[in-house]
Amino acid sequence: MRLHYEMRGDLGVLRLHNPPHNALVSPVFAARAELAAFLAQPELRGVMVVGEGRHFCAGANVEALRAAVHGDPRELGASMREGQALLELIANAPVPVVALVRGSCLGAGLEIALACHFRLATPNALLGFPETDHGLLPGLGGVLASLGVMPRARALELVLSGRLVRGEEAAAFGLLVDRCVPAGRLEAEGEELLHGLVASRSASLVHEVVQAVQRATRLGHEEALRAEGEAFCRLASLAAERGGEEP
Amino acid sequence: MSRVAPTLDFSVEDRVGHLVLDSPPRNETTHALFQDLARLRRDLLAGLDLAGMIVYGRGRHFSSGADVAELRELLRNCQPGRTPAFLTDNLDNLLALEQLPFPVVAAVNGCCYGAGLELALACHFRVAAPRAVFALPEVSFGLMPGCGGSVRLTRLVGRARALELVLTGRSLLADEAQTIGLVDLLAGRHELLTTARRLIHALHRTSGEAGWRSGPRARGRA
Repeated sequence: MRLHYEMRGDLGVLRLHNPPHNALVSPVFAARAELAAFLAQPELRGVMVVGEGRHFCAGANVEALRAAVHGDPRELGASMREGQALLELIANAPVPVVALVRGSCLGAGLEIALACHFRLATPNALLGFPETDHGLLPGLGGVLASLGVMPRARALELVLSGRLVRGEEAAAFGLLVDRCVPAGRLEAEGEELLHGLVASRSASLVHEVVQAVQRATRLGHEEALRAEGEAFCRLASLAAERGGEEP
Repeated sequence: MSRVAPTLDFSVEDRVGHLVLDSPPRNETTHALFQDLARLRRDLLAGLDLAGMIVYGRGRHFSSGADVAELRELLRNCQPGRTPAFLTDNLDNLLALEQLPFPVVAAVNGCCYGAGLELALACHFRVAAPRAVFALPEVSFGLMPGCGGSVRLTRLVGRARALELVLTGRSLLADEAQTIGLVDLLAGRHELLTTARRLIHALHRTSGEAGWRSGPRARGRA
């Protein structure tokens, strides 16, 4: 698996690339420094995460996973932590990130999609956590991320049963999928969603808002509130520098 | 009604406090309003044995949010890295409201914008009339919510919807607000206060005061 980086105008595209199913041979699906540098580009206004070809990502390659589980536990632990760090980079990106989901989006693939701020999916896309079939659970933060997008009972059901759901059903319960989109429109709708969010907003405004919202999911209540107040002040002083037009 | 402060009215009826934002028609969340709120909390609320409190606006609107001219003045000397006192005060004020030992219900009619919505978000529940309108329009001034709006909204409606609402600043009507979980109950304009009062008494009956005290802070935060 390699992560391909592209720019399309002011939008970045992260392409999961290991056709046909874009399965992960390791939780470390990208080089952290490269991903961090890509997400930190000053001209970047939004990011789309896509899979090469007909699938988003079918999750871990089963042979590779089996080998890792029976291998050195310290090595497995280290690669899981690195995989989590990659997903945290995506979740903490300073611009909105949308996953465009078609075909299979399973296990670690769904965890990647859940790290994104938004998910658009085709009605036929297949989403789920099949980890329990292998005696495992989602280990890249998928359980926690699930709780952010659906009620606890639903998250428990999906993770414990390993049941796979179509995009259509996923869109009907909570925010697992924000919206269903016909396959032919997936990328266009992704671009429209991102441009609709950031159009006519300054880069610093977008960064501050995205990070304030993200902090609400990561920090304690009071800490997140104080950080929001500080972000407000940074924007206010920028507005003051631009002259008395804005308050 | 007893006028306890220039911008607020407060009264108690059947162990339910009525906190009224009282500078119609807009009931702006001025610095004075936040100062009055702090005084009310300190001098009055602390000594009362309430089953709950309803927060609402006098007249047709809940609140249009900050007074833009005043905010501009307050922010004139804003330095990065130094949060001005008024903002810290607002933040502490809403945090204290959130931590009151009884349920606080915002009853929302008309506009509920900006810091007005941030105030409603710091309440434990929101009851709204069908024509109530909610928005965080700070982005149109190059700003963002500064009194906990983005944090509390995210915990209430999830990251995706919060991002969309804060970044676009778009407004939504009560039924959409209820669909996404921003509003708990809808009620006709003239039934708002009755509905809020009923909710408080129902909570009181089902969980009691001890139950409630251990409740709000333990409530799920996404």
